[in-house]
Amino acid sequence: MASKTLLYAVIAVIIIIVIGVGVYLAVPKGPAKIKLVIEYGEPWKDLVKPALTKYIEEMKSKGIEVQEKMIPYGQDFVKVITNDFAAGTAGDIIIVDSFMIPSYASAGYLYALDDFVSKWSDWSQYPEPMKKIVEWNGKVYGVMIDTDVRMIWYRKDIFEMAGLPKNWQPKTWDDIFKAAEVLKENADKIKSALGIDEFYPLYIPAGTKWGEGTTMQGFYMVLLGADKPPYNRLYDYDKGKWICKSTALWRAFKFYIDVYQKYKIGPIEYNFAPDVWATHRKVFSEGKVAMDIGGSWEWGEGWGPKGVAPLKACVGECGNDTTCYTNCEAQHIGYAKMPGYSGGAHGEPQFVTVSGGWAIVLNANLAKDKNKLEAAWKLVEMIASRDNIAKFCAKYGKIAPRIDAVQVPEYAKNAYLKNVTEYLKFTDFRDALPDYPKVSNIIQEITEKIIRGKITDPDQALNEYCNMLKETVGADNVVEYQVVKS
Amino acid sequence: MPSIERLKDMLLEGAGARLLILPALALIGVFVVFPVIWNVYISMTNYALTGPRARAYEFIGLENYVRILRDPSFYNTLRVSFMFTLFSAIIGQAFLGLGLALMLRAKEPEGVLGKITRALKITASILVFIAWIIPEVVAGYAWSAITSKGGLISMLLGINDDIYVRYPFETIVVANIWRGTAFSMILFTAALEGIPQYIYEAAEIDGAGPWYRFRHIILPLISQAILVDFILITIWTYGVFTMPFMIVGPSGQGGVAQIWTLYVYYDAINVYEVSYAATAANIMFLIVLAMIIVYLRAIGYLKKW
Repeated sequence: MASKTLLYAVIAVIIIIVIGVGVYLAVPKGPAKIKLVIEYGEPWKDLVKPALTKYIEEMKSKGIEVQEKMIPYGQDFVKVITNDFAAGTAGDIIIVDSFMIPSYASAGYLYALDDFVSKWSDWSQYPEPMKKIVEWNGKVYGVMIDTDVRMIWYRKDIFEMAGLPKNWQPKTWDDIFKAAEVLKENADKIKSALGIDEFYPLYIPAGTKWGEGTTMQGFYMVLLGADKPPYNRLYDYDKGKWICKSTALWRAFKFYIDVYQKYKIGPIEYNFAPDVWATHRKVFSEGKVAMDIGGSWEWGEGWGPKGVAPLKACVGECGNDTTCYTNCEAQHIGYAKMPGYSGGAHGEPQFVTVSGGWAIVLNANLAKDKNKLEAAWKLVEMIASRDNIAKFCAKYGKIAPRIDAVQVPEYAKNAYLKNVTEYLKFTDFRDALPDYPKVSNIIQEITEKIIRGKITDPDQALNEYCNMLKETVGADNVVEYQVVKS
Repeated sequence: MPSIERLKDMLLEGAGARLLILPALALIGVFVVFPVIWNVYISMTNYALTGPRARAYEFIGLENYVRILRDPSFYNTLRVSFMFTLFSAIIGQAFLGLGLALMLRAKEPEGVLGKITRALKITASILVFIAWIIPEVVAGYAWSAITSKGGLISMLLGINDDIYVRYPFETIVVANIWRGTAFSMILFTAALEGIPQYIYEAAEIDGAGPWYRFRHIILPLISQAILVDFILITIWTYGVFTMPFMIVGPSGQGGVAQIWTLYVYYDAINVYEVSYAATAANIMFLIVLAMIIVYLRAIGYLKKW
């Protein structure tokens, strides 16, 4: 009897499941909805949110929904996004580091935007270099949302304590080392005045924890000024090969060895901190570092009133008054152009800087659904609109990639942005080819070995670099120049 | 009419039984067997996470294996992993675990001293267990904090520097001992419980001292437990990732503390060379397999003996 009941029960359950599934499949689901996913790093929160709110409001009637996938601070945005692309889980609209565009595009992850930008009147507001950054193989794959330059940040108050000029502009690499030497001699005085237990004159990013930061913020800033063009690069465009050995590479590695080993003026351990970005902002804000080679966004994102590590003295003095804070910040923090190694005396650029920035791109998967694609582009247009970009850039001290940003009062009023925009006149760009991320990684590894003391002379650094480069891009794809060792 | 007994027979024996194993087999197939095969396949291609080789990758045979065997950083990783396993698992966890298990089993003297001993025993075992149950990410952050400049351990040792930067390898070894000792302790405690009391009593009557009892009674009787412990902690320690990752990062601070799990992560995620990482993972899999075979043989040998 019991077995019969059991049998009936099993049959009943099966019938219920079959009917349930049938009903679920048969009932109409209402109008087809479009669900978009936007993926971005936390630093671009205030760029995405205002545009998104407006977009959702406008698109509600069309049944378009947008899900946000924000990657929080402390994560390596480039790695997270690359993994998401490879795993097929990336958003539909993604904010990416522009140097990855050739790599992503050649992997087939991105949707080419040529048809959209050609019809978009705002596209003419983007200057040529900002269009070039997002291009690969003659096609446009993104729209720049911010750009940047790099410089030597320095603490005016600390310079004053050491008897150095408050308005400082080094003309050669030697000038930097001389200032560092003076700061080192005054370390005890500075430490007791600021109430800190450690002090380093100069911080230039090194090692793998920084990821691309090491190559972009640190290495390029040295390399570009280490020899005359076109020998001051990682890639030889004439020959179409990566540069394995050159005077510029030798001098750049030597710069790192001098900072971290010979003169011992750089903080080794900060390069290994669990969150190197946060640490570097914090230590400069605290005065533990006097000179910091870094990006223009730090004015706002790092040490601004709403930044990651605002200056304590200015917060105490100004409270929530942003104008007061900005004035105070300008009293404490200065920025100088990075000079060429001999200040241009040997044909290298007098001053150097390098620009990158982030771009908004569309996932190649969108090609499958025309409506979704159109809806996604509409959101790109709203995020990249003049006012949205200008207000965001003004707030965080980032350089707007659009020419018409200066028509927005918030942006035009910003004295800091006016000054750093000058840097764009002599800026340069990375050798962002599909293999670039891997070459960049070699530089991170070599500089890590330098700060760990595993590489102690520039010849060794250059040889190891060249060997690793050959392994990575193939021995046929490299070129070696004669190296002048001085 | 099928009786409930027959239904049971149908389900638990013969074809029915095999049918019931299917879901579990399917799961193992999808989540264990397939990834292993896929990993072998990927290691024979030039697939990368991004760039042109993400879209159009090719079969390149054993090229990755040839390349990795010529890569000095791979040998560095092998050495670091071996030392890490030796020091943190075999020497650290197993010995400390055995010591703690013996200590917990020690007779308590009468009176106040006995109470103190008891309290100490309980405290020690609680501390060891806490280390085992704390989430790895939390433990990783905690270790970075206490070994950084001004952190607890740095202060206790009087080192005015970031210990995890200056001594990255030593830091992850100690952290892993701290974390994994509880398992060995439990295993050995159980093994010691299994030794009948009368053997001790007989030995004591025969006049055997503590060392003699340990060497000639306890050790032979728990030798199987020791081997099982060695096998398990070797496998686990070989596969440890989270804590070292949190403390020293994927590069193991310039390779100094780059155990193989970090090496694989580094190649796959930092350098985007997934096929190369898969190659490293496969070679490591073979090494672990070889170690397990040696251990299993040792157990078989022990049994015969």
